[in-house]
Amino acid sequence: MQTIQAELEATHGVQILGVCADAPDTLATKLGKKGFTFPLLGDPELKAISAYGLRHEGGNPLGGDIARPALVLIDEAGKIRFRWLTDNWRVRPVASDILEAVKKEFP
Amino acid sequence: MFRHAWWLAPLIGIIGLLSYFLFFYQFPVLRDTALLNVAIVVFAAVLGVLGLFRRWAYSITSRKFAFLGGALVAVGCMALLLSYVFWTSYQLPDGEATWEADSAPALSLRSTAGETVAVGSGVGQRQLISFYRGYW
Repeated sequence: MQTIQAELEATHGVQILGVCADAPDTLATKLGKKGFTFPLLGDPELKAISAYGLRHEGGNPLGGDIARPALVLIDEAGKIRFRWLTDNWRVRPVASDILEAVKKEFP
Repeated sequence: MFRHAWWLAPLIGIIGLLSYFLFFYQFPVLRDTALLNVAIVVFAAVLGVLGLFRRWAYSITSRKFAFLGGALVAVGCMALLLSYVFWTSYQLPDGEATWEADSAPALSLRSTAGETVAVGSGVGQRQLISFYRGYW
């Protein structure tokens, strides 16, 4: 995602946000050195994850619910323009596919 | 070493299989790649099969069945772990996202930098939200 961040932001005006069920402090500790260049948001109360219907009940092997991997593209009016879901959490779209989807929605 | 493969191979295989779920699962790097446990069960399976072939001609009938059983258990442990690690654990429950509305909900979440970030409707900004499983 980092590889296309500059183009998404500069050319298409799209802000990238990462969301997961971990607490922000936990995320900061664990991912501080991983080099994420876009904001990572913690959703321990699963507000956004539940609101988007992405709750994976009991998905955390250490206990608790987590998010199903997904991508959601929203326009400036708050309308969903693109959504990507998976049945296999190892499978995520490659950067070029994401870029193509964004270009299609925001040419 | 191959002389003891009939009991050593299944023992190592079972340890390699169970230790993944009982111990190594709690460490993300060992859970997601499972290289250590995979190495253990593969070693056990190889030991069991090689022991079976190398000792078959020199063993009495009852010991032959012990080697055969040991090899089967070791290979079974390997098959179970590999199928779980490389297939079953990737699968998500049936059913896609339940939320089908066209407009995004308005929410705010806290970032790792301690800032509150508005997400979805009302932000006036194009956003690409990537949801992760987390628990890194």
